[in-house]
Amino acid sequence: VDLENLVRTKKVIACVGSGGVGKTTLSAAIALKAAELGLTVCVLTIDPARRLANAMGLDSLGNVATRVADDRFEAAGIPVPPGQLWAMMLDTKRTWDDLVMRFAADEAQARRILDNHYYQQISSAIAGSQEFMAMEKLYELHESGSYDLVVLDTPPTRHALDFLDAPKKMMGFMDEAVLEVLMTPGRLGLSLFKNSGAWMLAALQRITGFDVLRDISDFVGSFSGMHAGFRERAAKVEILLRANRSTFVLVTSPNAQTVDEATYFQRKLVEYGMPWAGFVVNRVHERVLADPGVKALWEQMREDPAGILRRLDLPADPDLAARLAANLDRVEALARRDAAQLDRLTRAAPGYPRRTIPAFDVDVHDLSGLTRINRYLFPEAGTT
Amino acid sequence: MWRLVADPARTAFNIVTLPEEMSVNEAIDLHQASAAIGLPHGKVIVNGVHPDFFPGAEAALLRARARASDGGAAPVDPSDRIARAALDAAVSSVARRQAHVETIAKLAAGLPLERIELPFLFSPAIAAGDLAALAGPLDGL
Repeated sequence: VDLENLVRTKKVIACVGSGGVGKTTLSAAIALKAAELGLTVCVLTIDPARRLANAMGLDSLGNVATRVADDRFEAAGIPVPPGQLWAMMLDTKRTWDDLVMRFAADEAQARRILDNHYYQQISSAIAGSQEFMAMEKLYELHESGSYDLVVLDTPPTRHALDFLDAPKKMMGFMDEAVLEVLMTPGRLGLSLFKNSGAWMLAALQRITGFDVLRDISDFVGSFSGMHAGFRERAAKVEILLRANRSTFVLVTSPNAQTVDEATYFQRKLVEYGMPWAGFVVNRVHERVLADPGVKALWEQMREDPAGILRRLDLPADPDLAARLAANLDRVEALARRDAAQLDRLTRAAPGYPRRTIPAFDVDVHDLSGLTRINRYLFPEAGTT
Repeated sequence: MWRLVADPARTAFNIVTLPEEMSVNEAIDLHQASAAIGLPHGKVIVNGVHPDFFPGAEAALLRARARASDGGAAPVDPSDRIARAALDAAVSSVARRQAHVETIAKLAAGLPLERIELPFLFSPAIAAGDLAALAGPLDGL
């Protein structure tokens, strides 16, 4: 996978994968690379580790893109890139509110929706809401024309597919046809109580004390006329993601579960006809004793642990020698486990490009750490 | 249901986390949010803590030795190369341990609950013996 070429040519790179595999860090690393290549790039992130956010100067949840200032690079001891690195942390609720403002016919309609309890629920709590708004923001950043490239760090979805389906699901949720049935006077009670969901609403109403049904009905009423705008928007996002100016990078780690999820998502991307670039496997322990000759030699050395200390010019200490040897065996066992998972990935998706990033001792949480990652992500470029 | 969940005699809200920055931030947020709505707090369990294989002065000795040979050419003798790999692996273990200790200190400062630490397991798949090793420290839960 020639990631550097993708960075140069694509308009959107979406990093997808399970939670906890390092998507945020890799997204930021890819964006930094783009800036080093002279591009103006924005990384849109969801919930970054705070130290990384702080390192980039993203201290506040402004829902607006912030340029990483030159002194941040200087502080990290890396050259100021010729391009521009922008970063933004997604605020789901505010993105919803902005959309409502954009499509509302007038201020009064916008106000009615923003004040509605039901709207407040779906804009913050409903599953898929964050994914939908991440895509909305991505589209907005792309459409603004301000960036050569937008790198998207996707929300940690339990099922990676939720991300692709989010706009459709949310639109289905607010679908005009369904709402029309709800809105037809006289049929409201009937149609609602015919399905079991209504019992849940009734229960919700008892517990919360809010008039849930009236809130929904008000919401639907206030929303009328805005669906076309929302739907058109969702369709445009999908077109953007399918276009050949976009690509997906599948981020995973060498664990059974995350590899399963990555291969599942890879199949789905192919099924959906989405463009994708390859796998990035993060936090891989590198094997030391893979070579049979080296392994045989190690087994000999293990017979005489004191000899290991002598070779290292360390003072004799049988206990330390034994622990040094045991430690290398443990790390090698982890590396073997990782190699087995990499093999599974290769078997499940043969012939697809892959990059591996080693397991660093300390989590990457600053700009200089990102350049370390980039030595493995973009080896074709040499050192930058 | 709320009465059951909020009753400290019957329910304790234990927080499970990892000794990593993002997980620790989330654990602290979770504790604040759960305390705000009145859930009875239990303990915080930190899973996957890197054991202290090279305690105290040993850690410093290993680091100093690795630094001294840094920058030099890689050893020519294959056995020396493997010995060097063993030293690097040990230094790596020391760095991981230290990072975990620092993260746990941050957790302790932000989350004033009794803490249980479970060790990182190096086995490729969790076996019954491993479960017993993890269950031991959880006795007082």
